Amino acid sequence: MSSTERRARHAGATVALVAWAALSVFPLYWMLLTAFSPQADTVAFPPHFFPRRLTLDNFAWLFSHAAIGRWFVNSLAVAASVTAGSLLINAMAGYAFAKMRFPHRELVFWMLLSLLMVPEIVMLIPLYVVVNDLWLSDTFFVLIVPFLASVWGIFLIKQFLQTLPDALLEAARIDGASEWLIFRKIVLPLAKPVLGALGTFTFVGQWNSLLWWLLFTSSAEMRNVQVGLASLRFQYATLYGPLMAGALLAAIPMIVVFFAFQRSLVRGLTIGALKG
Amino acid sequence: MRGVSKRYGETRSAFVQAVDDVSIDVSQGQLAVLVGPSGCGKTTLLRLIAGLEKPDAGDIVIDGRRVNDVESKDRDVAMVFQDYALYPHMSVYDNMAFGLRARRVARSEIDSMVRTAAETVGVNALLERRPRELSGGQRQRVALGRAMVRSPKAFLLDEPLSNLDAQLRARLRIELAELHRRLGTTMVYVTHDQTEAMTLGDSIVVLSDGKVQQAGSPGALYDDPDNVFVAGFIGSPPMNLIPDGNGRLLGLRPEAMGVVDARSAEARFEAIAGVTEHLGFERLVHASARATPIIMRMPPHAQPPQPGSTFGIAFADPAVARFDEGTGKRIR
Repeated sequence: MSSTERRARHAGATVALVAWAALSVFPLYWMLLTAFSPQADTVAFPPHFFPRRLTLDNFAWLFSHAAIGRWFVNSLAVAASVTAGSLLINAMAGYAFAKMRFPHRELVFWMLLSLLMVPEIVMLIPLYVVVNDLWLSDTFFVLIVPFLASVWGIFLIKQFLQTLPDALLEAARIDGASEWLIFRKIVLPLAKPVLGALGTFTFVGQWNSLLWWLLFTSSAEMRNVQVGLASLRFQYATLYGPLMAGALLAAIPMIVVFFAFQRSLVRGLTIGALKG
Repeated sequence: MRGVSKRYGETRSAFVQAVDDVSIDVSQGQLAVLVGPSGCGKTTLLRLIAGLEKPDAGDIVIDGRRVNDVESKDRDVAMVFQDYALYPHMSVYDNMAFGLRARRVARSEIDSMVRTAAETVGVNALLERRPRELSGGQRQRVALGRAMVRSPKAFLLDEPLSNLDAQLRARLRIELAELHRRLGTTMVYVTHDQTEAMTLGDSIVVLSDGKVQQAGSPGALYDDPDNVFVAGFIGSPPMNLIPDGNGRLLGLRPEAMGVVDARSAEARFEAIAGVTEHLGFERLVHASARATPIIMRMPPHAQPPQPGSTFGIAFADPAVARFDEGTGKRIR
C-alpha cells in the first residue's frame, strides 16, 4: 500500500469515527440543552441547535410542581436495599452451590437455571394477580423482596467461587473458623470482583426500573424517578424542559456508579470467560 | 487409627477404596511419614486425621480420645497443605493470626504468639507482605508458621515440599527435621518421595492401594522389607529382585553384591554388564542377570566391568531377602 493510500484510509476512518461520535453525543447534548432552555425554546420550530437563553426554571419547576425529591429518595432507597440485600443472599446461595455438599445439589441448581428461560414478561400478569390478592401493591415490600435473590446473580457468584481452591476453606476450618466466619472473612473478601460487578449491574437495573413500578405502585408518593419523569408526558403535551432536567439529574447516580466501579465491571464481564 | 476404611463414589458398585482397613500408631512426639505412590491413599489418611473426611469404618483416636465425630476445629491439629493454602487477601501476619482470632485469643497474646512463630520459621521480616509477594520457600515457611502458631497437638503435612525446586527442598527438609527436634510436636508427614521419607521419618508407613504395606523405622524398612513392593519402593536405587528359578525372588541391595570373575568360586550367578554411571562418590553399574535388569553399587575407584562383558556376582547369604514370586510376600 502506498503512503497516499494509507493516509486516505486513515482520513476515511477518522471521518467515520467522528461522525459516529457526534451521533452518539448529540442526544446527550440535546438533553443538556433542553434542560437549561426555557419552555418556548424547547418546542420552537425550526429547532435551535445552540442555546439562546440559559435558565434553571426547569429545575425549579421540578422541585415546586413535581415531587422529584421524593422520587429520588424512593429510587435510591429501593436500589440500595435491593443491591445490598441481593448481594448478600446471592453470595450465600452461590457459595453453597459452589462449595457445599448437600443432596441433589446439581438438580436444584439446574432447576433454578431453567427459570432463566422463562421471560419475565410472561410472569407479569400472574405476579400482578398474586401481589394484589396479598394486598401488597403500592408497598416497598413488593418493590424490594422479589429482587433479593436472582438466578443470574447466584449463577455468576457460583461460577466465580468455584475457582477458589478448597484447601483455603479447609485451612480455615482447621484453623477453627465457623462456617459463617469462613464466609465473612475468606469468601466475601475474595469474591470482591464479582460482587462489585454484580452490585453495579443490580443498582443500575433497579435505578432504571420502570415497568415494575408502573405496574405495582399507584399513589403519587410511591413513584420512582423513572415513573415520575414519565408522568410529565401528557396525552397532548410533554413538558420537555422539566423532563430533560429530571433525566439529567437521574443520570448523575449512574455516572457516579459507573466511574466508581468501572474496573470491577470490566472484570465482571470476563468472569467465566476462560473456564466456559 | 484402628481399622480405618474410606471409599469414594456414590454407588455400591462404582467406588474407589481409597483407604482399606488401615491401622497406624503414631507415638507422641514422633515424626511419622506416610509414603507411597500417587493414589495410594496417603493424603486421604491425612484428611481423615484432620477431620476433613469421615471414615466409613474404624476409629481415629487422638491423645486417647476417639475423634470420629469431632469437627476439624476441635481436634487441635494443624495442617500444612501442598499448595500452602495461604489466604491471598491477608498479610502474613493476618494469615498467622487468623486461627487465633477465630479462637478468640486475646489481642496482646496473639501478637506475641505470631511474632514467636514468625521468628521460629524465619519470616519475621515479611509480616506485612501478601502471599503473592513471597517466593515459594517463603510461602512454605509462612504455612508452617501458621500451623505452629497455636501449638497444636499434632502437625499434619501434606507433601509440603513438593512444589519447591530440588535445592530448596533439600534445605527445607533439614529445617523441618530441626524444627521437629526443637518443638517435639507429633508430626504426620505425607510424601511420595522415599528419600524424604527416609531422611525425615522416625517411623515410616509404606502405603499402596489403600493398604499398609509395612510400617517401621527407616532402617528396618531398608534392611528387612516385608514384601516386594516395599523392597522396590524404599532405597535409591531400589532392591534388585532376581528370580531364582524355583518360584522365588532373591532380594539384593545394590551394595550387597560384588563383581567377581565369572569362573571364580565366589560367583553365585552370571550377569552381563551394561553402562556405568559415575556419581563421584560411587559408581552405579547397570547389568542384567537372569534376564532381569539390576543395578549394583561400586566404590568410585573400582574398575567397572566392560559393557557387554560377562561377570560373576558374589554376595553373602545373610544379605539376601527371599520373596514368593506369586504373592510377593517375604519368605522368612
